[in-house]
Amino acid sequence: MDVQALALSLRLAGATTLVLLALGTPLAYWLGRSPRRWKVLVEAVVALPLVLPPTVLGFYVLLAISPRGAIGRWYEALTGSRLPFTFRGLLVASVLYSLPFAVQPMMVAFGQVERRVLEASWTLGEGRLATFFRTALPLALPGVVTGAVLSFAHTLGEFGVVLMVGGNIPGETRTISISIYDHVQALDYGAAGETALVLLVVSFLVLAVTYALQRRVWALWPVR
Amino acid sequence: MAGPLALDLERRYPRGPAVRAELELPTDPSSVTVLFGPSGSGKTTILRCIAGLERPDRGWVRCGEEVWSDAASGVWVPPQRRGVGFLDQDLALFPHRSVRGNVGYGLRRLPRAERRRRVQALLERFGIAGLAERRPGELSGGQRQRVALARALAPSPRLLLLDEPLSALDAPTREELRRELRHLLVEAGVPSIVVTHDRTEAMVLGDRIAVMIDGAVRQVGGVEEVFSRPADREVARAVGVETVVAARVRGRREGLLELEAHGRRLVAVDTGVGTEEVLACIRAEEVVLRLAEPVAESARNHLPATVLAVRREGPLERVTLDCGFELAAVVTPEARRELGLEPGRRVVAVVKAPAIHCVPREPAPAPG
Repeated sequence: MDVQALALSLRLAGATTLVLLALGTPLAYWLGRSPRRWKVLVEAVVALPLVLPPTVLGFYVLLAISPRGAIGRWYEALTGSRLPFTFRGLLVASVLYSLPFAVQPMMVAFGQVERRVLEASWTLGEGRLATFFRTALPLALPGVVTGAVLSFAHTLGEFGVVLMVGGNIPGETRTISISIYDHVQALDYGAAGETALVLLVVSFLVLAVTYALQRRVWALWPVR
Repeated sequence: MAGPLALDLERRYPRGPAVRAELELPTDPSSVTVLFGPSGSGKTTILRCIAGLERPDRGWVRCGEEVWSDAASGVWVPPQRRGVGFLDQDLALFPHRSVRGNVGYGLRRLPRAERRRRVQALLERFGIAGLAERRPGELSGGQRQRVALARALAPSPRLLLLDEPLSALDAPTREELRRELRHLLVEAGVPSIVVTHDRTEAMVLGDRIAVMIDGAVRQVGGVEEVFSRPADREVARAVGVETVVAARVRGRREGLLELEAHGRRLVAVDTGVGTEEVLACIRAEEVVLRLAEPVAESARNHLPATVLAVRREGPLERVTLDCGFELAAVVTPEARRELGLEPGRRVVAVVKAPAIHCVPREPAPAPG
């Protein structure tokens, strides 16, 4: 079994989840609560990775982060290094790829928080930021946790985008699914089977633990 | 609080009529003003504009010297900085926080020890100290009501706004909590504005009533004044034509109440009002007029009166009488002719004891 690839995949999934928690949560809050009509356009963009083939998404990300692309040029000027075929490049692609999995459950949860409860917080002197952290976020927590777990599990099994953006560099961009693919290509079904089983078990465990946690979250806060 | 709360505003909606109000409410400590009117008359909108939860399309809201919002100059003070306590119809307690957490929510900036002391004092004052660790989902309607009130009062607001505060409760609980709420509001020492469409609630809770009809404030005045002397026919229809007079309980015996109202003795049926002060309500339809004292009669209240005015109202004549207080009666045109009811005519107004409906009345707060 390819331990290095498994470790890399876990690292990538963890980093992606953290970035999505930081960026996706405010985005989901805005999408869930804003009265603006044009937010449907943003919603559509966020959902694109659900329907686009990973190769198409990977292709555009590769163009964008290449030294001649806008993001790539800006990144190189800023840090002196390049994004394609690196772990960071992979992270950028993964964040985009898993965005809908994080944002959609969060958005639904924020949308269900009652406006009057937020208003109560305002009239008690709390500004929008404090209201978000003290009231909206705790009430939407089950949705936020679901979003985080789904994006973690989704990133863990990512294949097409990695292949397009990251290539196959051991310890840098060779993730677990690439490793399985390589094993199969080399007709090493034993190694492929072991790794695949690990991925299956890890994914199952993550989901099972999350659902169990969510139950507890709800049991702690009986919502009328 | 320094100075009255004044507003002159308009709030328009894409569908449905606009809400307009021009209002000045003196805000003596612990006075309760009721914003009364039928459903859909715009009461809640006004309340939300005062709280800063809604922006008027035109006009201004002022509290004393301070301008809270002014559409013309773009001044806008957000709800966080108005120092106003707001009780939503649904109470909107935080479901993920304990009673203690709810009450202490607005006190985050206080030092820990101070906050704890304040919360504990409020819990005790509202009789919910034993529920401190419970979550709102585990409370009864009345308990939730008290938690919401304690939470709103915790940051010492200078004005308290309540939107249909008893509507979320079932009827028996509502009955029970009306007086308690009046008591708590007076004791809080904070001027409050209560929105309601319920007549009894308005009478029990309010010191002053502002009547709203079709998005506009039509009359502002004391409870007796508004209910007994509606400014026009629409206000009369909204409040119900009825004499409302403040009275004091002089005695209770065998299920009857002996009342004194403006020097006149009245007998009413005791329906369990617990207070010494009451508002005696007499529907104009229940008042019988005659020319002389009867020899013997079952009705207990005979009030010598002088006719002040007679006005045609649909098929009937509305007679306003002076019998120590102002009393309204309605009679047919035929009866008016037979009795010669003209201003100055002396008559006897007869009212049966069960026709006098008494509403409990906590004493108004001492001024200053």
